[in-house]
Amino acid sequence: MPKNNYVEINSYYIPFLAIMVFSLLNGFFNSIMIQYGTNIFPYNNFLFLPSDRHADLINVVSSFSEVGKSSFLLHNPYGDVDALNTNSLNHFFLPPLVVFISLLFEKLWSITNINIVLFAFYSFSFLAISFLASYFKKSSTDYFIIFFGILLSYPVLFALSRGHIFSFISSIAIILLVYNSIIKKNTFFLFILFAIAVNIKPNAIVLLPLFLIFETKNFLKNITIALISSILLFILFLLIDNYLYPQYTLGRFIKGLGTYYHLYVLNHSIQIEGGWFSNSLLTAIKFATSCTKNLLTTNMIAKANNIIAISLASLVLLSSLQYIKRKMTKFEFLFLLISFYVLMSSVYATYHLMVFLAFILSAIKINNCILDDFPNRLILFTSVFLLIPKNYLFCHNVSYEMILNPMILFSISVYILYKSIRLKHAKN
Amino acid sequence: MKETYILKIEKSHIPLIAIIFFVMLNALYNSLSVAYGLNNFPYSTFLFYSNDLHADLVKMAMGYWHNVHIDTSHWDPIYQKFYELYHSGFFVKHHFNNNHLPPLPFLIGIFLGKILQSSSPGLIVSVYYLIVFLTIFTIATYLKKNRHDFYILTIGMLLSYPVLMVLTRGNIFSFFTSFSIIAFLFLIYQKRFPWIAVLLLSFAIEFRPNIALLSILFFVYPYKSALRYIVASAVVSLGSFFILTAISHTICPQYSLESFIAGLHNYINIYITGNMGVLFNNSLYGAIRSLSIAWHIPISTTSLLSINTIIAITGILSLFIILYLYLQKKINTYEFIFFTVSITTLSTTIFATYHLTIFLFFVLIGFKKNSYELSKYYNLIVFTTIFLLVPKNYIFFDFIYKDFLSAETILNPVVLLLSSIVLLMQISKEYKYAKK
Repeated sequence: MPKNNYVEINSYYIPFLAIMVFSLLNGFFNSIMIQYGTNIFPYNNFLFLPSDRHADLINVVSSFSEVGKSSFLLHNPYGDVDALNTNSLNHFFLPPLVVFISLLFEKLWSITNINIVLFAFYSFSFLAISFLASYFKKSSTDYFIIFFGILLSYPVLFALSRGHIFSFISSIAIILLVYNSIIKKNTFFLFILFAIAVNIKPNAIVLLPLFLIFETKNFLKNITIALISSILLFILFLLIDNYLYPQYTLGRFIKGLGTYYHLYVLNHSIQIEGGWFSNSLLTAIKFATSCTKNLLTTNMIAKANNIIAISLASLVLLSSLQYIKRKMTKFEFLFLLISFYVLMSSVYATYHLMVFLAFILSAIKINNCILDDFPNRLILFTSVFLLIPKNYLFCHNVSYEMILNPMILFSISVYILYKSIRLKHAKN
Repeated sequence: MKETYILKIEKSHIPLIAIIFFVMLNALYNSLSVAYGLNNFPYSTFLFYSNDLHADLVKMAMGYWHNVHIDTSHWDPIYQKFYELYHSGFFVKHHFNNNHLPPLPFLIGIFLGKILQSSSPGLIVSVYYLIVFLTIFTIATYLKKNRHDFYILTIGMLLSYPVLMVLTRGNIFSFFTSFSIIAFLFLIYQKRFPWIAVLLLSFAIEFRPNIALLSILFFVYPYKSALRYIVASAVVSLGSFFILTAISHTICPQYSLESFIAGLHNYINIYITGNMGVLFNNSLYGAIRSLSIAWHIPISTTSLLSINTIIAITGILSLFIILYLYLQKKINTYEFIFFTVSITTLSTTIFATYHLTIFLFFVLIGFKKNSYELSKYYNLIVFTTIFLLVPKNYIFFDFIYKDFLSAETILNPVVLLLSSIVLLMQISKEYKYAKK
């Protein structure tokens, strides 16, 4: 066939186009389900319960607000000191940076109204997506493909409909951290990014070995700076929060974390509390046991959680060792770190999966024939798999993706690690 | 990044890929609307309202029943509700009967009504789906050059908006008409098997008499042959019409030529001057009605009928102009077919979305001929076609209920009309330039 009978598309668009197509496909499934008479959740939309939209912004912010309490606290799961004292769900488990952002929104709400708060959230989110598209684009066409690819990705749509501004901030920090680590751009900015990620989702501390990518001899110095930056940021926001909202103290934060652990981590239910739309290994186990009606006891969950944490921490160490021996590339090493971080976190909600955008975005900028390498193709495939909704089959109204996502991620991570162990020579 | 990893897409696939993309985009809009709390028609689906699923097949088949009492406990709840409506006398009370149907669809309806009585809606719907799928597979197999072509053709046709409407409405008559017309257009374009084309056109006319306008396309043949085929089509159509009317009358004595004409009057009252034909209409008349609804401009019944007549006359006169241009060799066969199909669509009073299936021809022919061989204006024609074959149910006007009428009922005919005018202007400009 003559050449002019083809339209050519850059290969690095494929992950973004795949994301768009699969998000559209799940939307199509929902629309067709409605048409054929099944207009009930979770068949009619692939996101969260419509009645709970923007809840992660409205509920959290209004829980700090005297104004919001009257109209929004009626069904608000986040209580204050009273809830903390009765071991009910409260907002004290939120890290200081999250509390600070919530307080800013609360201030905005108190002087304007809820529509302005939502407008601010959406403006921030769209600017964030636009920033990522501009940062990673190589041409103006790239910008549109990246922008819509990110916008239509499952975690981003989920974050928007849940109003989860915190996942946007932490994920962007991790995306930039991953990319700048790949290109070995070691600046103080990286420590700040790391500190932001840790201060929003403390489990991100697992990513500390990524500083191995820079000079190995400076590793100790780097992780010390990263840890100090994180602690300083924590203290800074703790002090600011305490000034703005005196009830928020270190003691209550720790107590709040304990309540969260009991309510979300140790809960055997795969619905709502800590189960729904989570992608960790612990949730996969809860899902499997719940579906087969073999509910785990609290003790068993605690044990499983500890075993997962210890096992995956060992895999992080093993991956670091393999990287030091140059048996894996930076791309593979960072993917393994992110994977184990996701799998190890007891609760890892869908919006946080945005971090996997890091790999498909970095692939645009890296010019060393990234797709030549099979593990890299596998990484991009896994990233796309995690960034698309797969809500077609359900068990007790919970999508099978809850077991599919962690299982695929775990299997591919272990495979990449195993291949690196089997490798006899260091990689270039 | 290595050049070897550049993804190549065949140009002939692009229109169908665009159709799939835009259909899914509207579906995503529906899904997000539900997630954002708009869980009601028309926000939750881009098709018809879901509690009327397969109504054009099941309700129509029930329309032939007289005092039928059957056990419907094994039926799907949707069809059980149809049965309740039938038994409550709803269809009779609102004058919804099948008398407006020409004899061939009337006979098919009798047959379906009998099957429904002794089986279940699930069975006739399944058989109907099977027939539609097999037809699509057959077309894809005929047009494919390789495996990729087959997949893209099957999925693209199946997911096109009119075909989804054909399926979900269960409109078996539209399916018969549309696919016969597509086959007819292929034969006309290729100038092959003219007598089969005559039969296909006559068959389509039996379902939708307005399709007779397409007989002008026989002028792709020499003048005398064209007249012969047109006369033959008229004879076959009229002959079949009278024979089938007699058969229908024998089987169902209340159906006769008089009852058919009375049924047509009833149809005009309900669908043309009434409100039933407003939703999912794509004609120029439909656009005017939608505009009047959107801008709250009252139009009297007499004015509506006058508008309809003016549009019909203008449509017929435009066809003669197009024929003149074709005979003068100012437009080619592909453009001639496009103009004729467009005028037929615009001037038919009720041209429901499922009937837009015939526009698939302009995309499908791209698998047999290269775009530059088809027309200089291929992009404009295909853009218009894609526009018609994808749902655009995003903005709605209040009609009967809040937000019930999609803006596409205005957009589709307007875009089709504008594209035809632009195409005509381009052609005349080129002709003038060539003359100089």
